[in-house]
Amino acid sequence: MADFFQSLLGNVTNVTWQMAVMWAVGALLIYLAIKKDMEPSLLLPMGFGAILVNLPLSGAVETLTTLFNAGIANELFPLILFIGIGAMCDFGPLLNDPKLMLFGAAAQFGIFFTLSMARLFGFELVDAASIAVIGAADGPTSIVVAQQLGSKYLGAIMVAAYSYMALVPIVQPPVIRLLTTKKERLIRMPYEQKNVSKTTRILFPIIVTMVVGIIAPGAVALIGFLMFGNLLRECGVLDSLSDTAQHVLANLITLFLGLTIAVRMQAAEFLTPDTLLILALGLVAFVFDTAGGVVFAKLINLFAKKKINPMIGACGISAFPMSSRVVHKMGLKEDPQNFLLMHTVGVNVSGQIASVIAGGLILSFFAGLA
Amino acid sequence: MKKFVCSFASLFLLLSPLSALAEEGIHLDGGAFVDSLQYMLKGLAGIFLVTGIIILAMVILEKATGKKQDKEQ
Repeated sequence: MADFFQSLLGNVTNVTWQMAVMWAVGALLIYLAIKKDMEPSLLLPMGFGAILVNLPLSGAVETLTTLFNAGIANELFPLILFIGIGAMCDFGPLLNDPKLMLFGAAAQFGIFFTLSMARLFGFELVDAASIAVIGAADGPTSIVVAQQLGSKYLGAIMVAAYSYMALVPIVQPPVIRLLTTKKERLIRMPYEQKNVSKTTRILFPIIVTMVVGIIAPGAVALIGFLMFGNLLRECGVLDSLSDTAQHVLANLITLFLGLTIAVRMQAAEFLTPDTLLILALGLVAFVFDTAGGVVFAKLINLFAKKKINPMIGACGISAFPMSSRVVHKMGLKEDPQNFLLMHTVGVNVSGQIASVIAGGLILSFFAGLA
Repeated sequence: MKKFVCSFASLFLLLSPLSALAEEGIHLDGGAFVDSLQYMLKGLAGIFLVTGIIILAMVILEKATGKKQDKEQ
């Protein structure tokens, strides 16, 4: 009888407090996904995966490691996901007013600031660069950069990148309010719809791929897949492929990505002071990205005749479309007649491009050190 | 002034967990911080350069295709 219980419950003695902590982390991610509706498509699989890989003698680790090697270690999943993201992105509002791209560029300030902060805390240059890219607010870019630079903190970086993307509605508003006055938040920006030609819409992804590919070759795979997805959308003759990329492909990859990331959330690897530091630095990156965009808009207002609502600068991060929605709602809260949505979407999609450029530049700077 | 105090307090709150970790033995390397500032400069210059080129290309493209569209209409 004792042997029977020993064989049945013997594994209970293998449970450690670190595993229990990771179950709590997993439960928190699931709670945020279901109850708070924060990036549920990613946080839910990640949360469940965190519990799955932290069960004693978990047989799932091997399977998930196989998936990890097949899809993340070789950057396949993030790149394929970018086709879906590209197909989802409507660059129309950006093409309507191309100067909005400048805000996307300015909002990458947090990445480079965080690189310096990570160096301050003693991280190696390649690790600091990988951690900094959390500020791209772009999971696939974070994965590709960390993987190509051979960072040993890939797990923590992925968790931070996806968690903060989900926390955009919590992180951004206080920073925006802190840096803007009520008067600035009330600035109205009427949207002037221009007729963007179909040729421009088709040539845009091709030109962006060529320009970024020539200047920052490290980013060519990311930007190429993103823009290929967008070309499927805009060409007008591949609606079925575009639809598949936007829905089936993106959902399928997201499903595997979230669960597979969890393999890097095993207690022994994850519960270290460095992980806490990386999570804190990820927050720094998001805060200073937001600040970079807002302050840049305020700077432009010093010279511009037509004033810009500085809140739209905050959408220059890549978390699309969450950031644009957050700022749009903030605008409506200040003034129910202030519709900023088209501007915020324009800045937000430019952030998507700029974050990939930033990732590519980081790769160009540090690829030799990996 | 109030805004400045608020900003400073927020920054302090934000960085306090980092300082706590630092006190627990994480080495602070001011030299590495200063050295890495060059990447901030290069990185931001690079992004604005690429962005500028794309904006320029878009403006030229839209002018060219817009005119063609006008003619067709």
